[in-house]
Amino acid sequence: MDLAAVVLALAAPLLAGAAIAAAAGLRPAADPLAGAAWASLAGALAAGAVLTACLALGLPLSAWTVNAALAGIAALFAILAWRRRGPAAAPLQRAAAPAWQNGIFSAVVVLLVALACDRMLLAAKTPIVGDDEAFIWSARAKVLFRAGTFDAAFRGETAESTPAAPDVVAHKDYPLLDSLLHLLVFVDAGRVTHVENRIPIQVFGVAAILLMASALRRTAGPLAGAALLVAWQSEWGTRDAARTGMADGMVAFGLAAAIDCLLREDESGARAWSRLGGLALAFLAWSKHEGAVLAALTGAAAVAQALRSERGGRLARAAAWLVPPAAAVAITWAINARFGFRNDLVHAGGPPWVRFVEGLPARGPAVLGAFWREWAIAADASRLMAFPLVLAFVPRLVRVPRSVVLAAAVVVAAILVHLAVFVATPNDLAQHWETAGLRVLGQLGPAIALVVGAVAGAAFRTAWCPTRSTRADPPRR
Amino acid sequence: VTARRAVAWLLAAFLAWQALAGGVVLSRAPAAASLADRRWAAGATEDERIDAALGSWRGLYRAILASVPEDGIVAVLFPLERETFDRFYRMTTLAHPRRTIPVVKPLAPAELADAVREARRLRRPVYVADVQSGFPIPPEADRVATGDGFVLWRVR
Repeated sequence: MDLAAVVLALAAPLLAGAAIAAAAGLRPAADPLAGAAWASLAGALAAGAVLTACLALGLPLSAWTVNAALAGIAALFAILAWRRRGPAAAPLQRAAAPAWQNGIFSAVVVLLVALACDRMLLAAKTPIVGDDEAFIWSARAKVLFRAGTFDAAFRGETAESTPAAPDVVAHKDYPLLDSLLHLLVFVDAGRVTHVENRIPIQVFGVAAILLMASALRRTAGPLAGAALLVAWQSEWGTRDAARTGMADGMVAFGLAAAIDCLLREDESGARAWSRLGGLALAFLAWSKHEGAVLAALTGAAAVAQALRSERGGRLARAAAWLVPPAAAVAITWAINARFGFRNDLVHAGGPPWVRFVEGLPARGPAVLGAFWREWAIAADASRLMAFPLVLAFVPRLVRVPRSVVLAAAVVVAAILVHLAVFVATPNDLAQHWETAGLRVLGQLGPAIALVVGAVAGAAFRTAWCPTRSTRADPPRR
Repeated sequence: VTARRAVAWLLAAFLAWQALAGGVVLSRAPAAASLADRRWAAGATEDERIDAALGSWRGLYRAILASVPEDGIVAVLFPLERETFDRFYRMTTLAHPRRTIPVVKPLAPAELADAVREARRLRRPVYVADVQSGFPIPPEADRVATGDGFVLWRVR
């Protein structure tokens, strides 16, 4: 194993990401769990941006160039964070709980992180030789590493010139961030690796645990938070995503981070959460196409929340949420337009909405049936979390803040959009569902657990501590 | 208030149930692999991992790496089975940037001649790897490597 390359590929983006998160208003010292998670998310974006700039401008893809740029970003944002220094997005209240409950919570978090690391270790037995991690994500990184620029890579290598040879890169139109993180390891190692390059993506599995731990302790308290963490981590999709260098775990992490920002912004009013929310949406949109759809849904909810807010700076908040993901989507579209890459689901046959309407009578029941049997009531796949999620919409039973209703609506809309994609698929439905159905629904796991945590926290407070406010901090600008 | 309390209790019970069920699933994880497996995963070299992933095709992979230039194309002849199909794609991923073409049925003499003509038109070094297929090899090919279960040829 090329450990030096792995350490460099993790540490340099983490440093830049910590500075970016601090400049956005996060105080990692006040909430180290969330701080580490946000550093990894923002750092991945920084690394992606640096590598994209190198590939677009034809700058040398060397460890020195890339890490110097990341160090520069870290320094720049550290200065911005130092100059800002005002009220930062401090963590919201940590529910005052007995020490034994906090002890259980901490033990569960440590155990889950250890199990995630164990999954990463066992995955390292096998090099990247199969599934999407080999044929999409790392394959494109290899092509980019060898070519050094987008032009040379995509014109020369991904345009197939050998009849009957399998494509080097499948789904060339997919967003780039995952491949860029594989590429970062190649650059740091100075060669193509076959195992180490999945580690920066697997690390998001650990970051997601930290982010979820911070969020669930805040909304649901330590005991219910620990229960939800265990339930979510035992889902099939979560366990599967943690093993590979595929982008599904990144989508799950990005969506959870965005939903957490939506809830925290409503509770505290701190603008830092709209800035961080924008970064989370950019991460989502740059990870996968379905991430872009989830970013659009969450962005719409965030804008609705910002525009209805009684706090100042509505437009600035809305812009903070929307500009970064719009940039991520623009990068993907620009590359696809330039090289003629097309999405198989969107561009096969007629328009997708026509295929949806035409396919609904025949495929609708089949898709719903598979969804119900294999996900909704299959404990191993979903932990049955779709059921308590519904409580967010029943204010007579549980009174939740508006942001929780919005977050629940995002999740329900995301489920419906995913199902609609399968109804409109131009591929064989059974095969498409078998290869992708549970995987894409699994991307929603942490977001669902977050919403259920917020619902449970509100239910417990209104039932057992009816006088306690659900808001933690006074509104801040 | 009664309804809200009932919902809170139901939610608490649901979370406890799912956490318990989830805990059972997670508790099986450490037993899914032995300590020796974990030691190997932590300490094996990249070549050892690749050899383990390719199984009986590792010799062919090494021969391709040693004999086929990076712009080369290898037609790999093998009988189509689940295992050979899987190994072909694993090897293809690892052998990048060399390109591979799966050939899973014997070509008739005319088809073989056409294939060779087509290959020459590519102006890239073309190789044929025979993995116990028994399929005909182009007569214009020189043997460049042999190993456990394979022969690698270069097409002139």
